[in-house]
Order: sequence, then structure tokens, then C-alpha cells
Amino acid sequence: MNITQWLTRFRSDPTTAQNITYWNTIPAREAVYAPFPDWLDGRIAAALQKRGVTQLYSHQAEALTAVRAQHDVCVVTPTASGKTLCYNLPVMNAILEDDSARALYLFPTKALAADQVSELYELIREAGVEIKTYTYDGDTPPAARQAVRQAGHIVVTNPDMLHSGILPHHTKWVKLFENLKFIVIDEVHTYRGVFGSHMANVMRRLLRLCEFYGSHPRIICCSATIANPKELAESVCGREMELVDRNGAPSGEKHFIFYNPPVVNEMLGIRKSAVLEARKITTDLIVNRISTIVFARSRVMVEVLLSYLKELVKTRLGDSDMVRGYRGGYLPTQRRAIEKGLRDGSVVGVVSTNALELGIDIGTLEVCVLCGYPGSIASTWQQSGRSGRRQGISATILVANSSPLNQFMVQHPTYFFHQPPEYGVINPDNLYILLSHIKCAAYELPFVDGETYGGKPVTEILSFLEESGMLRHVGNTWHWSTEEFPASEVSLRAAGEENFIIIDTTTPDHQVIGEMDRFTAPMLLHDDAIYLHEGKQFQVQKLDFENHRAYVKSVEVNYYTDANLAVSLRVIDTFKTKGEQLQTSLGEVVVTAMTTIFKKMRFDTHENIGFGKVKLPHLEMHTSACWLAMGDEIWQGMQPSEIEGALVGIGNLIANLAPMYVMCDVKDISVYPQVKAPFTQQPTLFIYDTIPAGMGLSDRLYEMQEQLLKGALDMVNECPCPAGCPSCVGTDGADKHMVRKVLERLCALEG
Amino acid sequence: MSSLEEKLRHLSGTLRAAQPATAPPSRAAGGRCVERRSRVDADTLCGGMAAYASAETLEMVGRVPLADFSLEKTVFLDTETTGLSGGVGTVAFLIGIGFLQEDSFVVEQYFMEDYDAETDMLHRLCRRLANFDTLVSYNGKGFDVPIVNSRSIVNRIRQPIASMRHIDLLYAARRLWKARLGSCGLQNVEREILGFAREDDIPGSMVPMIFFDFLKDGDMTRMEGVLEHNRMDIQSLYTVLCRLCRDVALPLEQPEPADRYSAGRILEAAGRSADALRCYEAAGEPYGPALRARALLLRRSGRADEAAYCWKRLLEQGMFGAEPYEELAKYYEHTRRDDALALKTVEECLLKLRLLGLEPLDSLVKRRVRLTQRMKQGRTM
Repeated sequence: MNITQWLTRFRSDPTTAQNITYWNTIPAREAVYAPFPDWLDGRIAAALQKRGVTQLYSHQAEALTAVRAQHDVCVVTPTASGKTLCYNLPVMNAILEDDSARALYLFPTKALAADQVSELYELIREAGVEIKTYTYDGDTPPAARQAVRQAGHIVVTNPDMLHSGILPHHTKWVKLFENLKFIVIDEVHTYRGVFGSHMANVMRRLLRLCEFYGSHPRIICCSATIANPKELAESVCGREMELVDRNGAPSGEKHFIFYNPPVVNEMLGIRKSAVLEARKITTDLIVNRISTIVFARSRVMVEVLLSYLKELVKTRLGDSDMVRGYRGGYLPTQRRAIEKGLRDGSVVGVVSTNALELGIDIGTLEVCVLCGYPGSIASTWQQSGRSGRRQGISATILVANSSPLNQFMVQHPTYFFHQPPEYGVINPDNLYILLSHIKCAAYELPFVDGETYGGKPVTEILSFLEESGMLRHVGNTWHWSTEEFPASEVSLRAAGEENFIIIDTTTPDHQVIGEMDRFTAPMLLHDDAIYLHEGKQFQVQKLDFENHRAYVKSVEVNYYTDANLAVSLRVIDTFKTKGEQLQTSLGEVVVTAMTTIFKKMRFDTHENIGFGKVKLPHLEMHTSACWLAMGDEIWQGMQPSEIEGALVGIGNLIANLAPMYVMCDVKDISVYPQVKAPFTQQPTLFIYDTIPAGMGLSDRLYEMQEQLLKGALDMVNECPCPAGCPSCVGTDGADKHMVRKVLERLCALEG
Repeated sequence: MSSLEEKLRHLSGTLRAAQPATAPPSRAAGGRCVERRSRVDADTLCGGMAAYASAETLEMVGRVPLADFSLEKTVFLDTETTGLSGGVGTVAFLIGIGFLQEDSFVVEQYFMEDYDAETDMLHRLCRRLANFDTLVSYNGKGFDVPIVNSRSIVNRIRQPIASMRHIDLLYAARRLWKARLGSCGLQNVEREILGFAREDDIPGSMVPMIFFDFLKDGDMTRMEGVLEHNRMDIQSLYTVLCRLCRDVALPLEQPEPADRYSAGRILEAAGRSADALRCYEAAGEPYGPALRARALLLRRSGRADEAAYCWKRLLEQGMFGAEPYEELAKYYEHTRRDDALALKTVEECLLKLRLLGLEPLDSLVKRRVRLTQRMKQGRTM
């Protein structure tokens, strides 16, 4: 059965048809072309022609013109629109004009870098020109590094390597820094939240060094579709950008299908599990040899799906390796083997977290199954773009789960197709992050009195560092004055410190099988937790919290574990406040979080079959928060227990809606309801950034509070459940009618 | 919690910053570059071995081409630094150089009293280095030179150091003494080869701390120890250089078989096969590595019978696993044209591997197949 036949059956078969809430066919799109610019080197043009490229798409030509005019450019490119030419052509052309010219390419992951480099090699080879392109990352052999530093025209690396392997050793890269003409930042939309804030600081350090060496590189950014690509690129680079966003590339016909699993318990609003439905759909696709990628929301879900699918494929197709997992926690060698399998076709199905959301070219996948809404419109389009990169029919099937956000999306498909995608938010001046990078910058080049960093004076921070014994202020200069190597203490991928390493002790030769950031580790790697890796179960024997190590042993059990996080919160400072009966404030809070117990959940039915205790130190975090204090008028005629229920219910709605507005992961924001908050003396809902010192998410929510409450009210009104379910107000005692009443009052206030 | 300073303090707790010290008084200007100069009788350092430090010998020892070499134009260099991380932020606060002047070995040290004296210090070094064309260091290629070079770039000084002809004695010492000593750290070489131990020497790991303390209190007492440590290092460079040359020039006078063997390796690498062979022979047959090196050299020189003798001896000693068997099998097959003996040797080796529980080597298995087939068919030529 081919994909067209499969889709026809999927649409007509009553067992599936009844669950389809929306079927959107996006017609194929014609290309808009423009000729090669006349300044393009003949050898490059000839190489392109050899590949059948006789003209450019309009957006490529536009980007080339802007770069040629010495602008910094941000190109917004849907998947498969030929974005790499937007930077490869200007860079190659510049090197052919001036052999001493250098370019630095930054990709968010090594895998993506490897993929793009092989494409660039091909073009260089076809052009028959001498442009030396090297990858410089953790895998580059020491013997080859010297050549990369001296002779590489184009150096391809990732932000982490730039941060800890290049910038602190800039004197070995004099040729590169003195002659740097271009910095290319691909997938700039991935640099949001903590990672983006780090990246912005790495860019500040990079440009600071360029200034020292007297070079003024142009910057070319590429971004997927988000609401504010120009703004995000500008904050990441600290420069004004010219936006190129009129896409001229063609696309094949695409079917976008929203699938809502049937309700199995109307009272509780419980639908059939999205995982089970996604598994069923995927199995059917794979059995028909239609190449499929499944995106799950978490590592745990990936592993759960993977073990199901592997088992099924083994019995039906005889080779469990035709389905593979792909996620961030895998080691590089494992990841590359999977990518290769995808390209050569020995793998038909892939289960992935959003590691593959990035533009890794894995060939022709025909169908993309999203097991749960990916959390943002932008991510959904990115993941959906994994299928049907080339011409021809492709499909994306969004299988909703019971969460409020999922139910909102699947029942409001027009919202999805008409709402502008989300904002990418970063906060390069997050104090925690800023301080780390100022240390690195001071190590790289002493600060001089009056020097600014990120456009702001930094004397106060430098003085603090001197007091802490790291800098020494002599004359007008701040010198690095310790034995430390500051870059090694900063990981760009999380605000916290180094990751936890997961060690398999099943066999005597203990092996590292993965790693996890320190905020997630207490939840997933506590003693006795079941950790899933490549579909195998491991039980955590011991979590060595101090040394960031988890020792695990292979086991076979019929349950997984789910830890509870106990949280308390207090207000430290208020920055601003608005409103009266509904008083919205923005400020700083201290959140204390502790993992205390965990539940054991049966695999197949997800029912709770036991508890265990967790003994771990608590994590304390200063962060920014937005809180809604609700006055007496709003609660008129309500009992205290009803107030509590309503507050919890609103909290549940907002926790699920807020990430949609600010384009963050659900776990980047937390909601904490307090019936009588000590600080406000009123029923109060706190929404806080779960990243130390805050990422600016609360700030944006403070501004969007009105939309947020209206969205919550819509969600309650449109949920079909009679009295409240996990898809709307949650199951922690919230009464749906009370929640609706309170939200109506709140929205009326706003009126 | 609203002031930036308080926030920084709180964050520093989570960042595990160094403990806050009391704020030091502000420094309008810090220090100067202090120069120290000392001289000792060159002969006491090298004990009459200087004569062996000819360009020819040094080329072999240092594996660097040395056209127009003279000891007078050679500078010995060692630095003390604020750390070992090797990035741009590591500062060499003390740079010591040594050179020969008439009958003396002179050590000149440039010490920056504070960071603002770094530029001056590097400038002085730069001017001084102009008098020399060859640099001698101990691990300078990997450490001292990159740091001095790096700091010069940061201070915008064109430093000749990175492009100077450079003999790194650490690599030379490893070539000659690693077989016997294992670790070839300078102090270990002093103790084991030169036979002297330093008294009251400062451990290298303490050096950064002493400098940071000095910056705080300006007390030179412990810093003097660092200057002395550096001076000793530089003098040792000269001694080690002479000693290396002498040992390579007079390899047969070395009492240790391992040293004779190592000298042989150096000579062989320099193309002096006859001398190398004499060293291997002098190392004695019980010293396996020399016997093996001898076998390989003899075979390459077309002296197959003598090489075979060595392999047989090695085989009797049970050393180097399958290699002697394979080499002998090749010898029997190709030189002696005795397939039966070659096959017997291969079989013996395979048996031995099996007894040891090891995998049979592919090359042996292939050889056995070929020999067996040919013995059935008879040699065609």
C-alpha cells in the first residue's frame, strides 16, 4: 500500500475516521525563481548547473543581494527550501575573491554540522575550487587541529566548542580571527531560553575578540518560522538584521491531520492513550513499509513507544532494528549509526524526541506522527517538516493526548493554522548566565575600565569578581588572576552546572550510557527509579548526588516510575504591579523544590501500583515570577474549599496554556497556587520561570495576562466534559463550574 | 535582594565561587618588571661534557636540523605560570633564560611584580631573544612557548619565540631514558640520571598560589623560592643537554642495557646503522628489545641469516609473542626456500597461541594455507 492508498483508507475506515477532527490539505506550491547574481563566480554557477540548479529561488537571491550589500541577514526558511545556499554561496564567493578570507559556521548540534558539511564538500568538489572546510568539534583528532586552525577557510563548529575550545584559546586562531569575514548561525530559532541566552553571550565574546583582532565579520542567520525571527536573531547576535522571509521554494502536497483518540470515560474526561493510538497508527504505516517518524514529548515516552514498536516489528517484520530510537541522551556513535540507517533505508521507523526537529537531512520520510502536541506551533511545523522534504505527497498526523493544551489544539484547528507562531524569548542578561560569561570573557582578554559588555557597563560585576579573588584590578585593567579555566564550569545547554552521568553496572566493565541535566536528574534518576534507555529498563541502584553520577543496573519489570516534586515559594522583590481586584505583579522569588516520593505505574494500563520515598537534598532557586493576586470581589459567595479548587483549576489551565504563548517547553514554566499567600494575603497564582534567575518568560506573561485568562476561559467552555477533567481544570479537586465562574469574573474585570 | 551586589553574592554561592576575600586596596599602578641575573661556572654545570654538545650530536638528540649551530647563540628558557590550563588566561609571571657567556652560564630572570608589568617583561624578553637563534626548553613546545606567544599576542607584541629553532629536551630525554625511567620529568631525570636531589625545592603545583599570595601582600619571602626553583630548572637544562649529547656520542660506555638500546634507536633514526647495530649488540642478548631491534635492522640491511639468529634467540626467550615465529617462517620460506620448516614454525606458533587461549592470527592462518597448498603441488619455480 502506498501513501495515497493508505491515506484514503485512513480517512474512510470508520474506526479511524470518527477520531479525525480536522483534515487540512495544503496544496503543492509553485516555485518563484530569480537568476544567479552577475557577481557570482562562474565556477560556483557551473557547479550548481551541474546539479540541475539553473536559477535561484527568490528568497535565496534576496539573501545574496543583502549579504553582498554588507548587511547582517536573517533568512527565515521552511524545511527544504534550500537555505544552505543562502550562506554557502556568499561565503564561497568571498573566499574565491580573497583567499585569506575566513568563515565560521555554527550549528546547534554536531550531527547537523556533519550533515551540512558533507553538502558543502560536494558543492566545493563540483566547483573544482580550493576551499578548505573543516569541522572542529570534540571529535576532531588532536593531530588534525593544527591544520584546521591554520589553513581552514571555513571552520564548522558548535556553540559549545566555540565557547570552551576556541575562544579561550583564541591566540591559536589568529588567522581565523584576523580574517573573519562571515559568521553563519544556522537554526537560530533553537537558540532560545537558556541555550539562547548562553549563545548570545558566546556571540558577545566572539565579536569582542574580532574587534581585538580588527575584523568585522558579517553575520548570516537562518531560522525556522517563529513569530519574531528578526528580533531573536538580533538579540542573539547583538546586531541589527535584515529580514529575508518571502519563501520562493516549491513544496509538495501535504496532509495535516488532527486525530483525537476516543473518549473512554466521559466522567473523568479520559481518552484512549495517545501513545497507544500513535503506536497503532505507526505500526500500520511501518507494516506497509511507509517510512515514518514518530515524535514523542519526553525521553520516557520515546522509550515506552520504542519498546512497544520494536516488539511488534520483530514479530511482524522479523527485524526489531527496523525501528530505532533517537534522542538527545544518546552518545554520538549511537546517534550516527541511526542516522546512517535512516539514509540507507535499513530503518523504516524512527521514534524521536525533538533532537531531530533540527534540519538534519534524513532522506524521504513520508509520514510524521506526532504523539502529543509538540508544545508550540513552530515546533509542530518543524517536526512536520521531517516528512515530505522532497516533492510528492506527505502527511502529518497529530495524535492528541488528554492534556488541556492538546485538547485545545485538536478542537481548535483553526487556531493552529491561523495563529502566528510563538515568540522566541531569550535573556542574555540573566545574571547567572551573564556572570559566567563575563568570567570567560575576562579570561580571554582583560577588561579595561569603561569597557562595556553587551552594550552595558560591567564595573560592578568586575568588582565583585575581584572581591571573590578571580580578577585583579591594576591600573585601568582587570586581569584574570586564578588557576581556573572558567569555560569548563559553564555548560551552554542548561543554566545549571554539569550533567549527571549515567553508568551501567550490569556487567563488571562499567559503561557510561547517557547523561542528564541536574534539574531533571532528581526526578528521573533518584534511587530505585526505572530509567529507560534504548528501550531497555534499568533500575537506579544509587544516585551519587554530590559527584553527579547515577549507577544503574539492567532489570525487567512491568512498571515505570514517576516522581513527585514538592515545591514552596516566597517573594523577595516586586518589580511592577498593575490592577486592583486582580493585581498582577512581576518580581523575584525563591523557589525550593524537593523530590520526595515516586509512584510506580504499570506499563500497559498506567495504573498506580505502589510508592517509594526519595531522599535528596532540596534545590533552591532564585528566579523571576509573575503572580495574580485575586481580591474579595472575585470570590464572593464561595467557600474556602471552593476557592482552593478554583485556584488549582485555573493554575492547571494556565500551566498548560502559557507555554503556547511564549514558545517554551512546558517544564520551563511552573504554576504554584496559594490560597492565602503570605506575601499578598490573598488567593494568589504564581507563575515562575524554572530556570535560575529567570529567562524573561514571566516578564512576557505579565504583559499577556489578559490573553492568558481569556484563553483559559475558552478552554473551560469548550471542553466537552461535564464537571472537569484532566484536559481542562485537572483532577485535583477543581470544580469546573466554579473555575468558569471565577474566570468569567476575572475577564469581566479586564473588560 | 534588590541590589546587584547582593544578587551576585547569592549567585556566587550557587556558582561555588572562591570565598570572598576582604577587598584589597585599589592599585593605581601595580608593579615593575624586576630583572635578576646570576652566573655560575659553566664547567661545574656540565662536568666537562660540553665538548660532546656538537651540532651533529644535537641534531640526533633533538631531531631538529641545526645548520650554523653554536652554543653561544643558544638560549635556555623556562617559565613559571599562574596555572596549567593552557588557555589565553594563563599568564607567565616569571620568565627565565640562560645562556653561555665566556666560561660562565648566565641566568637572567624577568619577573613581573604585577600584571601591569607584563608588557614590559615581554618586551624585554623579545629584545633579549634577538641575540639568539636556537631555543632549548623542557616541554616548551607544549607549554612555555604557547603561553609566552599567547600572552605576547594579547599584549600586541611581535614575539620571535614561536618561530625560533627549538630543541625540546623532554622529547629527547624520553627517547633516551624512557625505556629505563618511565617518567622523564625534569626532577626525575635530575635524580635518576644526574644523581642529585634539590633541597628545599618548591613543588611546582604550589607556584601559582605563591604568586597570588605575593600579589596580595607583596611579601617576597616565598617568591624567592620560586625564583630559585626557576633558576635551578634553567641550569638543569644545560646540564641535561650536555648529558644527552655525551650519552649518545659514547653509547657503548653506558652501563645500562636499556640506555645502550635507546642510544641505538636514536642512531638508527639518524641513519647510522652500523653504530646502532653496535649499540644493540652491546645491550646484550638477554635484553629483548635490543635483540628485536637488531633483528629488524639486520633484516633491513639484507643480513637475513644473522637476523634469523636473533629471532631464534628471541623465540627461545619466549618474547614478543608471535612475531619471532612469523619472521622465522618468512625467512624459511623466502630465503631458505624450505616450506616444510616454514610450515612447522607456523604450526608451532598456532599451537602456542591455542595453548595460551588466544585467537589465531589471520596472517599465520593464511600462510599455513598457502604453504600447505604449495607443498601438495610442489614449488613451480
